[in-house]
Amino acid sequence: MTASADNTTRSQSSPRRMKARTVIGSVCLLLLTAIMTGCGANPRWIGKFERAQEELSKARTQAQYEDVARRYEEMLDEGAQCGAVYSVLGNAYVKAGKPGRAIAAYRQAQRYWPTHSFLQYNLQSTLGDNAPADESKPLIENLLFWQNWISYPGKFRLAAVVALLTFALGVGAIFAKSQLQPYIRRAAWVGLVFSGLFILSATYDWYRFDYQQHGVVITPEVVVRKGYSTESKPAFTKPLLEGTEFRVRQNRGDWLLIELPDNQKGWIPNTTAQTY
Amino acid sequence: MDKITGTKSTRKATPKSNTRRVASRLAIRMARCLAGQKADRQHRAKTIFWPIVLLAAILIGICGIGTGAAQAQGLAAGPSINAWLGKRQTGFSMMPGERTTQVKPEEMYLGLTIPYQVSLENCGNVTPSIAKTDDFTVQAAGQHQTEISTPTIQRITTTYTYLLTPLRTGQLIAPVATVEVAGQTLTGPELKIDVLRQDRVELQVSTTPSSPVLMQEVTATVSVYIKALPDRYAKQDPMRILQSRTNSRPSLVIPWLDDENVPASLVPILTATEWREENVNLRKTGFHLNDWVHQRAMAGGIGILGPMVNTPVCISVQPSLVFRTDEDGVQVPYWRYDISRRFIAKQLGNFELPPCRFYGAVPMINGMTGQLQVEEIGAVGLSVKDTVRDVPLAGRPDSYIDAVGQFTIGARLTPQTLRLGEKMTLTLSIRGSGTLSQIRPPAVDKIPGIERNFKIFDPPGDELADDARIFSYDVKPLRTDVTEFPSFSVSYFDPISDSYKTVQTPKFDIKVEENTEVHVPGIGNGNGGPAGMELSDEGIFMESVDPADVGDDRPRVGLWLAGLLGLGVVYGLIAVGTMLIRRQSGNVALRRRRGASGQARTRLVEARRVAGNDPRAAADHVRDAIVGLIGDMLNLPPDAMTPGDAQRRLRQCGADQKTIDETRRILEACDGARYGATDTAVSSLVRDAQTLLVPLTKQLRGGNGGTK
Repeated sequence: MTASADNTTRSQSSPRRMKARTVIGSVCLLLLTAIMTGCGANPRWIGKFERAQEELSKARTQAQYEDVARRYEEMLDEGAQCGAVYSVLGNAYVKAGKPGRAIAAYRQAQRYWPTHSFLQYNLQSTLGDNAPADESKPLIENLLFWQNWISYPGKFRLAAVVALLTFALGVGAIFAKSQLQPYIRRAAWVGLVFSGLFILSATYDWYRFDYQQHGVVITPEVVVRKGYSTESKPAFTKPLLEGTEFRVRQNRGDWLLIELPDNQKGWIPNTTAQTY
Repeated sequence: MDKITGTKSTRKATPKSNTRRVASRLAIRMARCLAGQKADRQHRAKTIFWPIVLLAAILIGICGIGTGAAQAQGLAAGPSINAWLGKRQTGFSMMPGERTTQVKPEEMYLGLTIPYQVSLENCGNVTPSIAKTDDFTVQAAGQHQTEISTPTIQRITTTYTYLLTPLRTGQLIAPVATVEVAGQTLTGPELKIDVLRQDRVELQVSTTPSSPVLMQEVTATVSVYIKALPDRYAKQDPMRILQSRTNSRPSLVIPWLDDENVPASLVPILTATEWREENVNLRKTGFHLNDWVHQRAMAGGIGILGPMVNTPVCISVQPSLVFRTDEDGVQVPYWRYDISRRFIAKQLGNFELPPCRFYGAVPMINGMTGQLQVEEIGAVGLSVKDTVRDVPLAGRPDSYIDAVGQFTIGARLTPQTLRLGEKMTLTLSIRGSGTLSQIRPPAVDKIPGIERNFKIFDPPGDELADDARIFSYDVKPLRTDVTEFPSFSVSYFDPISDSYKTVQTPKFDIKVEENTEVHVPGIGNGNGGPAGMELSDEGIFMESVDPADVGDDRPRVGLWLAGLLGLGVVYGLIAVGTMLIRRQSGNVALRRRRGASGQARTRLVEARRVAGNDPRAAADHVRDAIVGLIGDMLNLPPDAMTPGDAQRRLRQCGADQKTIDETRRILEACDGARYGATDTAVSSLVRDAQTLLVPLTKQLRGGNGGTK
């Protein structure tokens, strides 16, 4: 009776277990699908992009390149924010003789294409001698050494995948047979650690790309002042040249409090810079 | 008739004799008066008294007038001007004269300085004007005022002192002083002075090159020539001889060593401070320069800083022995000391370096005694006038780089084999003497052959060495079919030949290879860059991008966070739920109770299924269902249970009698059905059992499960 009772019990519970597993698996898949897939390519954008590329190849004058750049800007405003559009936008601005805006576009493209060779080359070529000296990386970037290898959205996807994997391992550890349970549990713990790291990596990227505001000077030169008024004294002995990059610390009306890579600060009119 | 002799004189009267006669008569009368004769005394009184009184009155009148005049003059003395050479020291002065000590040199050496004083008396608050002259330099050296105020005299005297330095030899006239007072011009005296030439020390000022070109380097040099001593001192530096015997150092005044005296056309390469740091010493050797002193604290005996002392700032120059031809054509040995300062000619036009001066002791041999002694000597180096001229416009090539001088130009390009996108370095070196610091880098990026095929990065690197200027350009070829870096021209102006010189840099063969290491994602093969990729004119790659890459790649941070949280929540629920379940599933009695009803139902379904074919099995299933239900609900061992046992158990649970009876009946019927029951009976048994199932389960659930 005992064996049959057990068998009956086991046979009665295995469909339930199967059901539970099915539900959990479906949830995971749904989440994975939701996270992994973005909006995807909008056909309207593709058409617009192709037309803009055609005009870019035909353009000869700076005014024409500026027109092409405007088309790319429109696509960005509509939501087509990706490395491809930012990269060609930067190229168009370089040809239009606006290196400051080009640098801003290239920097934003770098978020999506961090290891793109042509993009890196074009950015360095545009920066020229204005390229900032090698700065010491923050400690977190040394810890998260892959920070500049994986794209901004890629880090989120990676964190989600690893989290899902960890979730699966965790659930598996609950239902696994007693012989396998310790191994699966260990794997789940390792997965949890990696999940934490990748989540931290994605969060850091969000902080430095979306939370912190960056900018580039887009006028031939701008005088940085000690206060947010044209009557304030200049903060530096020389004006900043086009292409100088900075972090925005504060907005006040039409003025920006900027911080240069060497931590010097000052105010500039927001019309002289492009922020991103 | 002569009274004494009674002789009548018969001589003829002449004016001379009349005078004698009157005088003699007066004398006789005075003698008689003095001799005491009364009649004569009375006569004397008449004849002598009144003339004396009259004479005295006249004298008094004269004195009074004079005093009055003097008084009038002292109270309202008119303005006056006076001048003299040398310094007059005024002591206590009173009328009629003054006690003075005055030095009036009759001759002086060219280069020395003499005081020149101009005195203004009662002129009010005016300053004398000193006439400009090419023969002297005039330097104001102060003033002092004296005032005399007595009942008879009132006088205010202001004395201005100047230092005159003659600039040439000969009999010169000191600059005349004039002053304007109340619309009247007063002029001082003309003073002559003999300025002698000496040949013991001479100064010569020169600029090299003469007539410099704009931006060219100019060296101004003062050459001090000191005549060599004769005999055994002939080979010895006179300055060393002087320094070994005396503490005095001759002074050298070179105005253009101070920046404020440098003509506007010239800009010193080293500031005055930098020049001093390089050239002067505080060891008191050489010439005392420009009366510069360095103040320092004198150390006390026990190491404590003592009072401040002035140490003359000197310049020590290594001389050279040269020979100069004198007026007689004789070669005379001199020791020559050169002191220079370098400038850049920055402004077009004339300029003048002010004259230099030497004064001080120099050693000499006394001609009579043959002994070595020193003599105060002065000398002047006359001013130098010159002109900065422009680099000629005519014939100036486009490749002129503001270089004036003599140069050699070289070029180097490395590497000469590279991949598209990589950089080369073009190094242009300009070596020679001239305006190295003013050279501007050649506009290599504007050269047609280069502009088309290369991107030149501005600005070039710039290095200035002592004799070279080096420019380094970063160069990128724009295409793989570029095979040569062409030569180009660089021009400079040679002031010696007064012409432009153009130099061609060498041509460089280069090889530009494909850059296969550049990977463009989303394009074609993904194994390398597209063939034929080239840099645009702006030096960037205009790669084509796959439109399929276009999309919204922004991360959905909110959704991502929600997903992660959801995962965490779900996992938590699963973990907690499973834990609870397992806790519960460890309770066997509970598990049996939970599964009892289902188990019974399953058995009854099985009974119904086999009722038609196997009534006995069906009856067994029915029995197992009821007995199993009771056993599971009451956690009894799954062994056989008779109807009586079942009844008893039910009674213990507090089941109602109807249920108990029905249960017993069914169990008994099941036992009976084993032995010959029909399918109809079994079917109704199954039905009955199914009907009993629910109330029985309730009854059993309501009671406490008993144990065996």
